[in-house]
Amino acid sequence: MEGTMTKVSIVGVAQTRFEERIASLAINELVYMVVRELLHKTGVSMKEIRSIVTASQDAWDGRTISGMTINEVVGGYLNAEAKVAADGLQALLYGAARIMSGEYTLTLVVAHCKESEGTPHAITNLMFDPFTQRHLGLDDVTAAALQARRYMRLRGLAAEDIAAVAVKNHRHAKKNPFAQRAGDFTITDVLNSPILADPIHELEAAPQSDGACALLLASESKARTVTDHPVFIIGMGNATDAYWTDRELGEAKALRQAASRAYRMAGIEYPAHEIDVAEISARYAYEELMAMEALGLSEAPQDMLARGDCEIGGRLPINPSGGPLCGNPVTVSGLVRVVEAYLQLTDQAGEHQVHGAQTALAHGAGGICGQNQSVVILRRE
Amino acid sequence: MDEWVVHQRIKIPFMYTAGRALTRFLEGLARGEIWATRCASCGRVYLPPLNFCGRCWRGIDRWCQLPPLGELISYTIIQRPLPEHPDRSPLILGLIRLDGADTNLVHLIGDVDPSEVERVTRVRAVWRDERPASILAISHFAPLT
Ligand SMILES: [Zn+2]
Repeated sequence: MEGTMTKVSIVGVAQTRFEERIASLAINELVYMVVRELLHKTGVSMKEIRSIVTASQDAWDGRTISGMTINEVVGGYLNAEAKVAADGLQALLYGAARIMSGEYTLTLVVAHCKESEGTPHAITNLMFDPFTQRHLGLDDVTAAALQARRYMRLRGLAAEDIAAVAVKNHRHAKKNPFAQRAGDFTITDVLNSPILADPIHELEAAPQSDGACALLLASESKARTVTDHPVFIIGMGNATDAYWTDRELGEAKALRQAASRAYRMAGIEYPAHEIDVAEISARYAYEELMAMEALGLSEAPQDMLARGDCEIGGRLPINPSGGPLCGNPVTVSGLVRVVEAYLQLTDQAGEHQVHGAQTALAHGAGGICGQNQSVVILRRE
Repeated sequence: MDEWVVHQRIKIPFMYTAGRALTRFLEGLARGEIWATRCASCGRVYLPPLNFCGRCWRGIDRWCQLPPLGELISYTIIQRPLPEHPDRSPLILGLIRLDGADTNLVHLIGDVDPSEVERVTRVRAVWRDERPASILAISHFAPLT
């Protein structure tokens, strides 16, 4: 980071287990649980926190001003609380800017969603243009299916190439205690799972998930007082593309932009060699291949995957946590990628630890067919 | 312990203002015509029409009529019944690039068996007899044979 801006570090993380339905906890109780765990782990008291950024979505929470559902439990009372109605990684960017400004030494960043409470088709149908698209019955997965086929046609990818992503991620998820769905599926298992919207199969799409995660950002000097192992945010970038019907759906141009901004800030020239582990917000299996290309990690991601390079222990492990396919509450998606990257860089990832990881990439996406893209680069000391 | 839930249904009547560009587009559909706009600076043809180009960040006031023909760029087959089409399952949704347009239109694909749609490259609009000022003035797109 340039000039006199404060360096931003992450000093602690917490996440709930992701589940298809968490029936015993209301949203504020779920968030209280995860924030309490974060403070317990870091030893920071809520009295020290003056800045909070949360991520949630009104339509998914079934109420407007959704941030107010959790204002008390995130310590928002009379503090600098703000909410982003976007992917959780956007909340991290906002929180990081507050630390960089020098005005706040700590910022709490929290994301939550209980997808089980609403009606996914009706809620995601609301994303679409009300004049010419909504009444056709579009929803998140049907638009993704249109993008998947377009991308597969442009790159000449087979159904098996996409299914291989789901195989790898579900196998990784077996080692992640927070994962909701995991297993030793074969490519045939994936392609025999029910079709949600052709060509997307159930095991190639993130399941319905409830969950939350939180992390604590600190200025460098404050970080030194909280932990011996701060992780630094060395690069950040985001970009928003044109509306999904106003662009080449088979290319992730905005992600290329977001990545190049983050790499420039981090001083990364050869991402495929300089990144040790990547957590990618692929809510659908095909998105992981698209993202690997756009992030400059591989020109032929399907070959890289087939060689085993993306496995834990491979040359560049992708989604060692299992990624969104193994549990993915909307908005938590991008922020929990950072949580996972932090665990990797502090050797706390347990069975899915990528040994020796120094530099990690976390990716978040939002909007129809990834209209909005964010990339964060993290490094341990 | 059994946890309680509170059931509610959110229903909010809403009136979306079409604006100048879309009003002209929707009125065209009612006449069986497809109207788009073209950016004078970059030449991009927007369908549905916009009266500004976000890429050039300037207004657009040039209109052009497009033929009801185009390329099927992508499609998806949906087996589950959708609330918007309770009596149509399976359903095919397509991404269509009309000839002369630089953006895509989404619509239903019909008059083709789902097992045959992979071979379809060119499609044409099938108009309803009674045309509302809506995208639904087009019943669906069908293979051009
Ligand atoms: Zn233009």
